[in-house]
Amino acid sequence: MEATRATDEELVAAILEGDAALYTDLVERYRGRLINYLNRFLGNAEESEELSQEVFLRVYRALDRYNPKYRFSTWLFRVARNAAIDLIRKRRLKLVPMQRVGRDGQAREREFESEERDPYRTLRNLERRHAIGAAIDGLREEYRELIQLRHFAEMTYEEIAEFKGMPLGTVKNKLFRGRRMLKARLADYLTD
Amino acid sequence: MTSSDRSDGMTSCAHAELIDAWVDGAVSEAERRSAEQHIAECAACRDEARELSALHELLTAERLSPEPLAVDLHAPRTRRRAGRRRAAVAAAGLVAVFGGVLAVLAPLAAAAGSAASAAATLFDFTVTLGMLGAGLLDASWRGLNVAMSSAPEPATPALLFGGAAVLGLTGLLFSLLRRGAKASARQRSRR
Repeated sequence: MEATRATDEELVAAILEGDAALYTDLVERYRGRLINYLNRFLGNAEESEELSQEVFLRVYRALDRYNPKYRFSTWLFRVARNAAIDLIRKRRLKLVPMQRVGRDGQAREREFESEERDPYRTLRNLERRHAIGAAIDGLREEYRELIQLRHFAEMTYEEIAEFKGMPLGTVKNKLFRGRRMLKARLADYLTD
Repeated sequence: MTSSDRSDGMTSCAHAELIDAWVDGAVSEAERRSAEQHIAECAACRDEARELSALHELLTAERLSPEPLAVDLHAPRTRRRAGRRRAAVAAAGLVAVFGGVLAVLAPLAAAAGSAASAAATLFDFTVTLGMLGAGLLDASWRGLNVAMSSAPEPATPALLFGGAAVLGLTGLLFSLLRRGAKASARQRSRR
């Protein structure tokens, strides 16, 4: 089967008929989007990458239960969302404190390795990242989730409508409102 | 002009939602024409579009760019098939060698308990080698690759079942042989 032309649903059908190697094409198609989507929940790139592998594995194992009535992406991201929520629940049980106790018994802030050599740029990037994270997290759930699905999972409006079981017009309107709120909250970073 | 500026700096233009979708590339051809025509006439919506575009860039910059997959999921599958074939051939070879040794030892076994003991050692050695081979094969496969290669492959189960059957029959033969050797040893000790 010509993987570049095949739809997700056609690929799934071919895999179920025995061509398991085609699953690689589905993985390649969604891997980046899935990692980014998970990263919005987990805030940790490495963990997101690991969980994405687990999600792909779960989906592969359950592929024979896939309902072609829905898009493959809807199912994949739903599994991913549930997996992220499960992980967050587990993670709450083993939170790492931001402070550590030194040999002298004094509490000290944990030090994190800098990503870049230019400290000013690092600081700016860090600030911006925190601001974006805070702006998104500060949105009401109905807007936040749609922003995540559109800008990080890179879903089309139609995919979001199916994923959320919402009319297309509602998706458009909520994204419009969500972005409008984000724009106001991130105004300082939009003029750079 | 159909817009008016608000205190929050955002346009209240009736076209604002259309402009938002246009910047996001989520409009039909007719909507695109309408949006572009409006933008040309409405300064507030032009500013809005510029800011929205900056927001898109900001959010896009926050996306991770994962490294390409280090492992080609296609390739190991082929290697595993080849590995399985090699393992099956090796197992068949071991079983054949063991069978040959057994065939030589069998006539002597009734008379010599030590031969049976040697055969037992050889059998254990063969089985251990087989297990080790299977263990090594499994250890080289992880996660998705394992799952993907566990998809139905008509030739593989036949080989595995065949191998298992040969091993089982060999084990049965060996236990009969050993029983015979013990019986003859008992007879000798009675004499």
